[in-house]
Amino acid sequence: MADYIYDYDMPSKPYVWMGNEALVEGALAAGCRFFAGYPITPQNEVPERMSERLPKLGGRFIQMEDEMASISAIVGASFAGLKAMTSTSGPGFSLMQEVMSWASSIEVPMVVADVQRTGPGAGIVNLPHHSDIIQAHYGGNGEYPVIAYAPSSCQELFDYTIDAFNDAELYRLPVVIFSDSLLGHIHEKVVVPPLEALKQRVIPRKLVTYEEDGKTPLPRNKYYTFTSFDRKTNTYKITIPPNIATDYFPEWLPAVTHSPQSIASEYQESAELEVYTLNNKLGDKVVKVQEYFMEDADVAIVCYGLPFRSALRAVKLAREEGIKAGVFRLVTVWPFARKAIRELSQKVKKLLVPEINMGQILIWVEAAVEDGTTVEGIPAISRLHEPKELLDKLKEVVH
Amino acid sequence: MQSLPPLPERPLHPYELVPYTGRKFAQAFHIFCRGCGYGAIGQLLCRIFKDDKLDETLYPFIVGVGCYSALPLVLPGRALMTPHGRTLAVATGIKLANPKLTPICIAGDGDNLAIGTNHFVQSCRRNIGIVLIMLHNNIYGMTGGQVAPTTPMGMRASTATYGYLEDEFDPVALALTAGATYVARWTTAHPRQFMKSVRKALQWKGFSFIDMVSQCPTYFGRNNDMSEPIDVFNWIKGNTIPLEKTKGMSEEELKGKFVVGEFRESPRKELSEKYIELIEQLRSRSKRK
Amino acid sequence: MPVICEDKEKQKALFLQMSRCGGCHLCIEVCPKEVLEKSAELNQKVQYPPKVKEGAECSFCQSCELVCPDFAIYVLKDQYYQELLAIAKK
Repeated sequence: MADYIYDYDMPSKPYVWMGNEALVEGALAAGCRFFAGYPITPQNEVPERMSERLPKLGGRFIQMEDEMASISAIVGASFAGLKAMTSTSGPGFSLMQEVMSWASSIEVPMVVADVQRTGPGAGIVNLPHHSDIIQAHYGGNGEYPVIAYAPSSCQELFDYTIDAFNDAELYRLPVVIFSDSLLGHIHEKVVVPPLEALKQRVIPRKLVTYEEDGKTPLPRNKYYTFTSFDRKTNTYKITIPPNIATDYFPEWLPAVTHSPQSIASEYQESAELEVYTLNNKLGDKVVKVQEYFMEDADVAIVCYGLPFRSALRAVKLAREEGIKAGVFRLVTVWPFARKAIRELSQKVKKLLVPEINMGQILIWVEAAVEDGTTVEGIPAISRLHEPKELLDKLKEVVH
Repeated sequence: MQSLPPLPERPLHPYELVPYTGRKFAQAFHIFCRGCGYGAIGQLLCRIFKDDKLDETLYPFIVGVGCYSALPLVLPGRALMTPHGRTLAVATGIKLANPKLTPICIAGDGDNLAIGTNHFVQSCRRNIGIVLIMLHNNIYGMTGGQVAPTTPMGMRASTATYGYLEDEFDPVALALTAGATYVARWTTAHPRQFMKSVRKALQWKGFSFIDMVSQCPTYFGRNNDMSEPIDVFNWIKGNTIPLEKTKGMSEEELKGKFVVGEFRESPRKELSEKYIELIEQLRSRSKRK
Repeated sequence: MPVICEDKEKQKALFLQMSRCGGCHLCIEVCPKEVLEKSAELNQKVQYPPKVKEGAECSFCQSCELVCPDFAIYVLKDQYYQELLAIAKK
């Protein structure tokens, strides 16, 4: 696996990049070589930088005629063997939902970056508002899983984009990166690791799959186009994505409900099998959380994205004043860390959930905690919470 | 399990076996209505692949949503089904990512001219190397016979019980204005010319658009007093005028007629070729530094 | 057996698969020499397949073959004539 050609070309040193630029560089470091996009503020820097960088690296850039065409084009590019990405904002993300649902059902690895802006409607383009959290999972028709990352700094935009591409390759589904107009436009220091370290970290796109011994290529009739459930080992076997120019591609890849061997079907049993397989194939390792100052905490702030920075500052100030507070951060917003929140609520009985919306993850946290836990949301529309505001709230809750 | 149609008598012509290498079913069958033009179109495409011995990996089929979604049962090679109207966008991604392939998009008149008009116009303008075969039967067949953008005014359909009030439009004129480099229109009554056009389009460098008019006796025919396949076929044949004979004819005479022929054949540089040249240029520039 | 018209000099034959014919009669309409007409027997698909008129001479132009939606009527010629006709005649 480590002898593929890795051709990322940025020398390893610290840079000063805007959030949108760090997103682009992270994608290029992860091996993304196809981008199709449509202009929408606040993510215009993403297609602009991609159009300049991709031809130099041998990749392809195209500006399509609308967001539905952009996301359809990256599905095609992913089937033709390139890692593909698109980026958009709130109104464009709503247009992409049909194809997100289709791409989940045919298990295409791809990455969609959503640089959110105030809504509803056209809203204000340059103010942040995390309004698409629920839409990323439940926007399209049908029931499908999604992995969503919520970085909070430009360095994390670079790193989590690489993680997003790796997750897309491993689990074969569209992965969403949540950014917003504030994070997309601040300039911060980003350190690019040495190329050898990056090469070890990135999972490349595979063309041929091997049998259990790892040496003989798998013959066509043993290859399952989609994920299947292996009854002997009780696990889900996720195969490599089929490339349209190789023999692994099935004769007919239907958009309707299908079996793991890509045969279209109209029976209720196959619908049940497909929906359960799609939704259960992710497993537990996908959920990532981070904990700060949580060993002896009485009150915890559950957060994701930009409010994490205010929360960390507030908790550090609170600890100086003697309040036992901690931060429980969701790195991946979807799949939701239900088990982890439940275990948290067994130790900490007071939770605060600051969000830059009216409370979308708040409902999920309230549903996941054990009895006796007080959960309070701190909504902030179109602005970032200030550390002093969260500190005052911590003091209020503890006393 | 649905019961398969009865086994055919011997011999099986080798053309029938072309699409079935590797498929699950061992005999030629399709699910189209009797008299539907799509069965013949599938047969003609199979012939081209078998006679010219084309490499099926180089020509993936991208199929939209409509009655012809079941066409991959009788098509050679592999087929990818996309959501309604997005065949050209997916094919653009495939062509740019791997310029050696020539995707063949099969779209209907509803798929291409209603929900997918934007992609159609932009693909013509962009001149990307895709072959678009539009199956033009003037109706939405799969969903039960609703009006399409190409249904002539006054004709009846299931959503136009008193006759359609809107005028139709000509997709060939749209393709010519948008800048498509190879534009042709044929009907099921011109199978040999259609095959020649498809052979030309498969080797064409640029966007090629072939409008194939075919008969839908089940919905278009039955709603308009043409229940037999022969009636719809003769209606199409009666309204067909070859391109050479339209010189000097006024617009009123041409209204409602299908003008068949090759409308334009002027090559332009293809998009993925230009992009590869750009990449080579940038690479040589950075090497010289 | 459905070999419906044969010309031994030119080594060509017109063959009709009875069970696959959908009874749309497009071949009858399209034939330039008007060689075909509707038969009176039903086939397995409960339709009336075509049959060759008495004394008609098929020119093996393949017009019916190219318009048939079911690939039920076709011309056997060149190498297919020898091998497949033997199987058909059995």
